[in-house]
Order: sequence, then structure tokens, then C-alpha cells
Amino acid sequence: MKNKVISIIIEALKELAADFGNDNIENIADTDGETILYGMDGILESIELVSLFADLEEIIFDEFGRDITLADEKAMSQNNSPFRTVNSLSDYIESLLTGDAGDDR
Amino acid sequence: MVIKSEYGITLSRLRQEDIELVRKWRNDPEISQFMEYRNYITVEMQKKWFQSLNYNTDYFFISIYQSKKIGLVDVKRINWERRIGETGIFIYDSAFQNTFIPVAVYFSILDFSFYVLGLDKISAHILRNNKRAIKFNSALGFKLQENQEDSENQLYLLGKDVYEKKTGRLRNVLIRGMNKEREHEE
Repeated sequence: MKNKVISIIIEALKELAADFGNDNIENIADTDGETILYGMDGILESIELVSLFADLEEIIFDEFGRDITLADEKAMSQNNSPFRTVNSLSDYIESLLTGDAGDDR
Repeated sequence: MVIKSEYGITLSRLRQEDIELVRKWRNDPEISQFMEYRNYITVEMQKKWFQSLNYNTDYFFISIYQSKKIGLVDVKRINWERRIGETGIFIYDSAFQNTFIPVAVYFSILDFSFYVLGLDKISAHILRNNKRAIKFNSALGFKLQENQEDSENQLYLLGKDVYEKKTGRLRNVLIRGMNKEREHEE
């Protein structure tokens, strides 16, 4: 499942790069998944982050038939936020899909 | 006046006791560089500005997240006949940069403007070198107005219908996320 979720995130980021003209996102596929997405050093700006969440929630529903909520206040405030990198976001989505992060909606 | 938005943000109408804090924020080059007026603001200037605000047409709010004052947001110069006002926003606390909080604050003031005040249109002036703000506002549906290309401080306009069309999906994402914990507690 992890590889599938990572490829979903990368595809969503590429779409986002095209929509917002963000060159920093465009080359994300060449990285090891540890590029900082979120926060002060992140490559995503606020509106891009929220757009990414909206896109991912829709794709995850289409692919897995599960309704998840990503813009979680609690997750945002964690020191090691799950939104920080592609890898951590992928782990977080996986945990939502398997129920390890608590119930979703 | 205190507004608790669906996005987890509290908007508290600007009071005299907060204007020194706002002055401190506003004089920080990190903030002032994106403002039309970039000179130093003195205590007296700030008092005079606050006294000049019209309570019926200038709504300035301290934005608060998790009990912390994080910035200033406003809808001002409201023309009630034309049902139009001008918005502005800054988040002082850099810890919230590139998080979804700036979007939540902006949705809070725009929802207040359209659905509480009943305005039909919102304008915004954005310095043309402020690419981040231009991207942000454009994504919400703000359109650069005609003959603004050469202006340093460019005028953008957003209609209520466009706002709803462009941001409905994004607003739902934030509303669900910000209320997730509360729903679980109930």
C-alpha cells in the first residue's frame, strides 16, 4: 500500500505544481521522499497545502473507497507533523486507512 | 465583538488595548515590507489611526488560534450601498507560515464579510512584487482589475459567487479537519 500512496501523493503534487506554477514542487519525484513539504522551510505555501489535502482526500476516496480527513488540527500541532515530508504524509495516510491513527470521519 | 469561525479561528474586534501589539507587529520589516505604507509607525500615529476608524465600516480583528494572538485581519472601507468592502490580512507568527492557518484566517474574514455582513464583493490591494499574496488571493478567486498592470499596489476583486465556486471544496476540507477532534469528543 505504501508505494501506491506515495505515487498518489507525487502525482497530486505534480498536478499542484502545474496549477500553481510552483517550480519547487515540480521536481519532487526526483527526491527520496524527504523533501520538506510543510511549515516554515516547506516547499508548499498555505493555499497549496490545503489544495493538496483536498486533492488527496478525493483521490484516496476514489482509489480506496475511504473517506479520510487530512487537515487535522492535532496532527498539525505535533512536533513531528505527519505533513512534513512525502514519506511522513504517506505513513499518515496509511495509518488513517488502516485505522492506526484513530478513526477518521 | 468576538467571532468563532468554523475554521478554528477566533476573530476579536480590535480594541485600544491591542493597538500597541499591532504596532509592534506592523513595524516588523517581515510585515511592513508587504504594506503600501512601510515607514515606521509611532505610538501617536497608531493612536490616531485607531481613532480614525469608523466602527460601522472598518472591521479590524485580532486573529486568535488556540488562545494565541497570531495576526491582524480586516474588512474595511465598507460601502453599504454598493455592498463592497476591502480586506487585508497578515499573520505575524512565522510558526504558522506554510501551514493551513493563514487560509483558515482568510476564510474566516471572507465568510464574515459575505455571510454575516452580507457584502457582495470584496477588494484587496496587493503589492505587485508580493508573489505569495498574489498566488494566495488568485487561488481564492480574486481577479486583477483592468489598468492595474503598472500600479505598484494593485487592485483585485472577488465576488461572492466566485468565492463560493472557487473555495467550496477547500473550505469543506478545513471545516472537517478543524472540527474532527470536537466530533470525536461528542
